[in-house]
Amino acid sequence: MNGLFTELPVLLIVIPLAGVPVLYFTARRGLGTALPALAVILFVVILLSSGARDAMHTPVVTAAGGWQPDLGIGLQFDLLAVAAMLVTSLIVAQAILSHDETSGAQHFRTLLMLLYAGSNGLMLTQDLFNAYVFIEITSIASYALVAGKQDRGGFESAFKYVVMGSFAGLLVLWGIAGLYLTTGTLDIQSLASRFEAAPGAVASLSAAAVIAGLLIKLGQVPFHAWKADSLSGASYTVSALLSGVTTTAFFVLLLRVLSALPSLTVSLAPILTTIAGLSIITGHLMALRQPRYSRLLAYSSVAHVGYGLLAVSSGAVTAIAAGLFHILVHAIMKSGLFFLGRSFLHTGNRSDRLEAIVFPEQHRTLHVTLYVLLAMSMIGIPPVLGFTSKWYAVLETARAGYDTGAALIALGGAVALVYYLRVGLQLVHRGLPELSSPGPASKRLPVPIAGTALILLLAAFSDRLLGFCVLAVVQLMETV
Amino acid sequence: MSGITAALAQTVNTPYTEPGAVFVSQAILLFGLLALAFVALHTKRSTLWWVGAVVHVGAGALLPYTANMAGFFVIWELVTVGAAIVLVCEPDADGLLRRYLPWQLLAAALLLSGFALQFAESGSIALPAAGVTAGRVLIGIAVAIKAALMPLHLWMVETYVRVRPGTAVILSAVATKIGVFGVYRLLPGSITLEILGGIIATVAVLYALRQNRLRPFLAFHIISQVGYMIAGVGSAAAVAQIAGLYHLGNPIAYKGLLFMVVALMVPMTGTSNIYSTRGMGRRSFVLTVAAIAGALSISGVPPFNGYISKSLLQSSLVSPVAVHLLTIAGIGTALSFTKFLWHGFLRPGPLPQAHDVQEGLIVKTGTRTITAVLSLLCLLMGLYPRSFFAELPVSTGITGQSFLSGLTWPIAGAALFFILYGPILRVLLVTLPGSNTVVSLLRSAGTRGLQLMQRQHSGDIRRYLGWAVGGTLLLWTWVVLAP
Repeated sequence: MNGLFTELPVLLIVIPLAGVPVLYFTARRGLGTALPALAVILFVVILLSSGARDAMHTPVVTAAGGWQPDLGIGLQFDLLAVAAMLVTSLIVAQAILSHDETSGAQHFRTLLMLLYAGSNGLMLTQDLFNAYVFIEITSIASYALVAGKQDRGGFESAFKYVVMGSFAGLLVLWGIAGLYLTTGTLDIQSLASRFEAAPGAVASLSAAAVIAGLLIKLGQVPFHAWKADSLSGASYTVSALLSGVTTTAFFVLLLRVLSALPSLTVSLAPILTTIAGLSIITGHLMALRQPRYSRLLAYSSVAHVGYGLLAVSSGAVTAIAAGLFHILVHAIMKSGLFFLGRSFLHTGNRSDRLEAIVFPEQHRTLHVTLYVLLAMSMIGIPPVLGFTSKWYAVLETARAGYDTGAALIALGGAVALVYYLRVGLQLVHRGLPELSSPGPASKRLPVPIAGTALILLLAAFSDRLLGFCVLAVVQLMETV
Repeated sequence: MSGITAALAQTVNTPYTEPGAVFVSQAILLFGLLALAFVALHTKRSTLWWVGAVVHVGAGALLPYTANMAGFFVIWELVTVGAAIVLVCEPDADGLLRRYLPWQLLAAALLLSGFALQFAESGSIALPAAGVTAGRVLIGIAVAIKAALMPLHLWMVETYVRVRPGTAVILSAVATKIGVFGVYRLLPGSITLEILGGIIATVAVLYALRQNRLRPFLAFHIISQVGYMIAGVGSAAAVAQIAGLYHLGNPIAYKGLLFMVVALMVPMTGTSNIYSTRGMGRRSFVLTVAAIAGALSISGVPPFNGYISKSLLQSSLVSPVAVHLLTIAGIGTALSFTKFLWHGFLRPGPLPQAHDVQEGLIVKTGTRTITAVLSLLCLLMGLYPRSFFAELPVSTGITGQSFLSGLTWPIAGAALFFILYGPILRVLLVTLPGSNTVVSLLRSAGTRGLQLMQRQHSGDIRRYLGWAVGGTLLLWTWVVLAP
């Protein structure tokens, strides 16, 4: 292993972080920020893929600054991080490409880089306190992004997001402090052995607080209520980022925490599965009657993260892998649906109320096709990737002994069918009154096309992708 | 993907040829073809309609041969696709598809999910799967939708009364029958299914008694007959299953026959109101014979085929509750069809104005020939049941004694019509909620629940924070109390 790759995990965070001031001070607007931002992502992806081969054999663990874990900061570059970061990089790149060249573009891309750095950190970190720092970096970037729309709705959404996010941060910080107090370590790997060696009420309560904080971030019932409000006030691009990038990053962190606390995970399994089940039910049922496109998608996210959580809390390796796989696929398809939502704006319509949204006349067939494929994937209709990931989730959850949960996942698709059909029928509706000032034709079509093409193409390799996720989970379990 | 291809290939190479399955397939094919011939002679239909109808009937006949889950699911959906194509060709395609497709898609999703669960448990896609309970529940709901079991029957009633008469003939031959076959093939026998079948048979007859229009009347009788079939094929007793399968074949014959009679009656009398149809007996001999044959068969009067399967069912079911329920359903059926025959064919009185001349439909002798053939089939299936389905017990058949005892309940039903029909109808109208009412009650309860849920998500950040605090406390409590 050569020198570059031992420092690789640090670079994955430092490069986007360095991009933040560079982007802010050097470029003013337009492609001036888009190209450097894309270059950063490209560089990260190249690093990821070149390091992936090493990670395949043994995870690259970096002690940043030479300080050994326990005292110093550990970063873990393993298959889990590779898989998740490839997906989030893809979504961030899509977000950059799809953003309009308006006056806010410079701020947007700067914040986006901050979010990217923070989420990469979340997925790599092996140190609990650093995890907290990255949670805050990611959150602050997200708050600002949500408020970026600069209207009443945007500010309200951002405010709610800040309140709930701060509460989550507080819980996580409190939990980390408690864990440090009782086990004397912040390193996730050494936490595993010390937590088992010194079980106690304080340690367990602290760990539960960390998990509760992460559940808030993931938007699981009863911590879910902020999600729709926050996503509906943000622009579609930001919503795509929040439901794609941050959700994936927090899910990966949750996986790392849970895998480090096997005994607690077992004792929490009943309540975690209940939370997941409630999230699936609430998410789908609430989505049924939402008046707005973005709120509908937000509630559907609650349900889909519930699938992942359910599979993970069942405890079996293959089930956890299936859950992870579904979360990654969900990130791609959900962000695709949000990106597709941008095309409504080009009809000159500022509202996303379901009775008002409609695809623009230009490239109408293409838009409809994209929507149909993405919706099929969300519902779980073959032959798209969403079907296979959901199929594995149902299969592995049932094999792990959670029949009811598996049935819930399966039934969720039937409910989802109803609301995606409803939206689809609205989108192709032609009877809406002519808008006074239709916007310019959509120039951003390639963005949802890319995501859709992926869910189609990758479906053929579902077995291998799941195999990769299984490897990642096995590696995660072994390291701990 | 290759797994699915292999599974389909297995279905083609080694079909499932258990005698019961073969009988169901042949019954669907035979009556499907007769129904197609009837429509061909009856009215002109577009090419697309024919494609749909052939796919519908063909897939229905193929389904019993499927050896595994993949094959079953694909062909089951082909039946739906065929029906959907047929519906697209109907005048009110939009409304029909809106009523038909959501239920069928739901059934498809449930069936696939149920199969997935069973596959996860057993690791095999062979049928019938020894599966998990959750999987069985999902499959159960799916086949209940397909078989139009109450209260999941609305798609059928609403579809069948809106299509053109010939289309109803085709659909009635296949759609619900494969749902029943699904119960036979996918679910294990149990007393619960017997009683469920009995309840459905009885309740549907009560609803049929309330109807004053021809096609809803027939549609509810289909549901009632499906109840008989479920009681039979859902039973754990082998003889009851065979009786159920034979009963699956019988109604295709006599329901198809009755739908054809109605299809010919409506243009002739110019009305679809049972009480206004009159004088058919004096206008078409063949049709009258066909109607009487159909009515006697469905009422279980010997020597027609309905008697064979119904009497065998009554004697072989495990649960006495189911047996009593089926007896009540039998009396109700006889009462109901006496009403149909009396008003349409036998009642004296002035003839209504003739409509057949303008329609120009029933003058063709071909359609009448088909009704005559089907009537004869109903009789032959009653007289020589074992020539049609060799698995029936050797003792099956009609003897002098069984002939007389078989007449008891149908005659009681017929007598009830003349003596007590008015009071019965009044009681039913007052006590029985409209089948739409039941569904709309369920629907409004669902809507209220969703509204309540939505009101809770009011956007008030204090409440959201409260939930999060509560959730955290719950987690903590669990951690402290859990072992």
